[in-house]
Amino acid sequence: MSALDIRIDSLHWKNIRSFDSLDVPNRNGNQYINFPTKKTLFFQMPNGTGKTTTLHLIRNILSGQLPSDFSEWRRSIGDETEESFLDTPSEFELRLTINGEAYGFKLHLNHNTNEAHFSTTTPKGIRQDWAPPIAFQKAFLNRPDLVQLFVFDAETARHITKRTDEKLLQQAIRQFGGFSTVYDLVGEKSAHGSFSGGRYGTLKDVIKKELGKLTETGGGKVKGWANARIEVEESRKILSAKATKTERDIKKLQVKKEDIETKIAEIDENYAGLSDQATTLKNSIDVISRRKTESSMKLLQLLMQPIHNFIPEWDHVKSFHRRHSDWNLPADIGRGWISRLTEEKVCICGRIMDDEHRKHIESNIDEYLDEGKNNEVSSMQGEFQSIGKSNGSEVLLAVEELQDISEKLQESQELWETKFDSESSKEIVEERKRLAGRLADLIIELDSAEYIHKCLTTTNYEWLRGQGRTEGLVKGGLPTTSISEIKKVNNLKILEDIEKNLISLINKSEGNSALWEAFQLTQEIIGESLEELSQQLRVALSIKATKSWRSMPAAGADKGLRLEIQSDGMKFFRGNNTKPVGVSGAQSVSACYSVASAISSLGDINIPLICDTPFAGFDEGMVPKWYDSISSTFPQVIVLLNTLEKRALVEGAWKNRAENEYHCTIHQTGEASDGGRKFQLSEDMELFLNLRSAGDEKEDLQ
Amino acid sequence: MVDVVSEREEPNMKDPKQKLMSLIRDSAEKKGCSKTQVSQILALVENTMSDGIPDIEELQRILKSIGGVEK
Repeated sequence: MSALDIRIDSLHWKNIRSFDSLDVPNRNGNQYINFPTKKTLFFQMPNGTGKTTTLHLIRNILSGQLPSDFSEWRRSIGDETEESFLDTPSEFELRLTINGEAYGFKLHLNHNTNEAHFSTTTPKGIRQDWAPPIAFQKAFLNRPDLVQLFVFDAETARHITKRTDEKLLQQAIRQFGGFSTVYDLVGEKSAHGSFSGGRYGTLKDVIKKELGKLTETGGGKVKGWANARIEVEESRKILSAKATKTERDIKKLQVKKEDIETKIAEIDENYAGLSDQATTLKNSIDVISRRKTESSMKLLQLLMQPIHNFIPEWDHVKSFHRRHSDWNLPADIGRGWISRLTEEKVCICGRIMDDEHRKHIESNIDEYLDEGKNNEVSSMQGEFQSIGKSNGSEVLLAVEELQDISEKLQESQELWETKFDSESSKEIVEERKRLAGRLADLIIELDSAEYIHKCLTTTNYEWLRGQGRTEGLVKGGLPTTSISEIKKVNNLKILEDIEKNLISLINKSEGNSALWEAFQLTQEIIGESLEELSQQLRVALSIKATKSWRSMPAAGADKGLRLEIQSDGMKFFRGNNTKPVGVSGAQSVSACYSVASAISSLGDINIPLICDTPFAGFDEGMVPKWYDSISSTFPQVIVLLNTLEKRALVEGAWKNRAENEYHCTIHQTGEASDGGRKFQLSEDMELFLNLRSAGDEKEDLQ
Repeated sequence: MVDVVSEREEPNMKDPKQKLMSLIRDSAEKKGCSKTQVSQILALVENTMSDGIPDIEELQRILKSIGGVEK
């Protein structure tokens, strides 16, 4: 059994929107009836009956979050033209089996007082609050964003793939991986590489407050350091504000750039559709562009091999490695080299060299030079013996190939532009030129903003040295303690290092270094391990989700597509190209299903998928593939369909597939006693197959 | 074109908590922490995952204890 195994047993509405009272499945008198143990459950709910409301209610119940505004969920009476609402209390109940035990979660909504509360039927009795088992609470409490991954509509897919919700998948991985509280402990890694926030952040504030007192009471140097630390804080406020503003500017510029690129692509697509010749030319440009990318990658890979870079020096490189092909490393790159590190002021790892660090290096030299590592080095060196002469011919051939392809691409693009100019209207040609000009300007603005942002936030001191922007670091790379120098600093990482150094100096002088040393050491150890784990999980989940995505509709048809979960959201790529590509709505929806499934497997959680009108944007022929892949990916799937989607299901995936699953129809049967519409549940197959809505006729005519 | 996904074996993702503990242990040992310090750091993380984050006073006490141990 999984760590958390969840199955939906039944749903119950009372005085919510169109429903005065509805149970799915129907009750037997007062007795609840559970869904049959079918994998996929199809609910046919005509438009306007409350699919979206139901989705929101389920999200509230799973995340234990009370809705703040629920007036729209009042019982509705009258018709679409003259709709009014009743203030009768509403209730929605979701019954679940969690790890083999039955739970019932009821959301009570009082429209007169605007108060909402939960009650829970547990195996031990009824509680007047939200009371699932601890494992369930740990996974979902107050996480409507996570629940959204499994209670899914097209809006969810947009959120996941848009920049606006870039942290959603990252948080889902932490939550389902069971380590999100460790981030709450050490804080989040900022753009400039240090951790901030969390309980450690609060503790740092406490430590700094104590140090603040020394600006008055400390003597000599300590007072100076304490004042310098106050200056760091002031400078950080200014630089952080600059970094935030630049980040916002970059995002705005990226959105504008993508918008213009889309408009240009639309103009090109429209033109390409005008004639067979234009279509052929457009396709040819696409093919040559792909070849150019492949060719560039090939050249890059060649250039990364030393044999192609050290052509005149190659014999020397080879003889050096031949001489040292056993694993007794020479003193200058072995023990002696490591030992000499202790003579430096700053270690190669970036830490300031103190006695403790020197002692650590000296006593661990043998570990750094362990047998396993030396064997690896030896085997690598052995490879050198089998490599022949370097003449650079492979690189030259690759360069020629790339030049050749680039010329062909340029010719085709020029031909395209000439034809486009002569065959398109003057307005369109001018509009395209205007957009291309604006795009060029935006690229310059974006480059400039990205450069400013990099100066402010990079952790790469070598790069900063190259730019002459190492204000705040004195000779030997040590952080300054001077207030006037701190004022000149333009990089947040340098400020961070200055602050750490000042706090260390003060604590040492005050004989109080144990807490601060442990604070820094443990935050670094735990924080960096968390980042490493998150990165490994993102890679693993990306591979798993891509494999599942390729078995799904849309993505499977487009060979070579892959998805990557990155720290700033989900991106799509083709082949081994590193430039993200756009995908269709159907492709992005199925990518989200795959990612949701992969993430739930991470926490060993079996959770149903509940999806609203899932075929939106699907092409003909995709429904059967959707059915096969979704039903094999999730343990239970609840599909809310309107009558049109029902038709797509019946036409596409009925025989020997969906016909064997559970189906029900929520349909209007007349007027309820409160004057509103009366809806009932029917499990009749004929009704499920034949029900049509007014909108369907319109669709038929089109 | 090389298919980077089908060529790669699916990495093992089971038990991320254990993986985290092992990464922390390796990192702490590399940074020269003593056995006692490694155990204290691992206990801090394990307790945080099972019982929630410690309050400020408790965290201060734990860190002072870690910092006070001879490496």
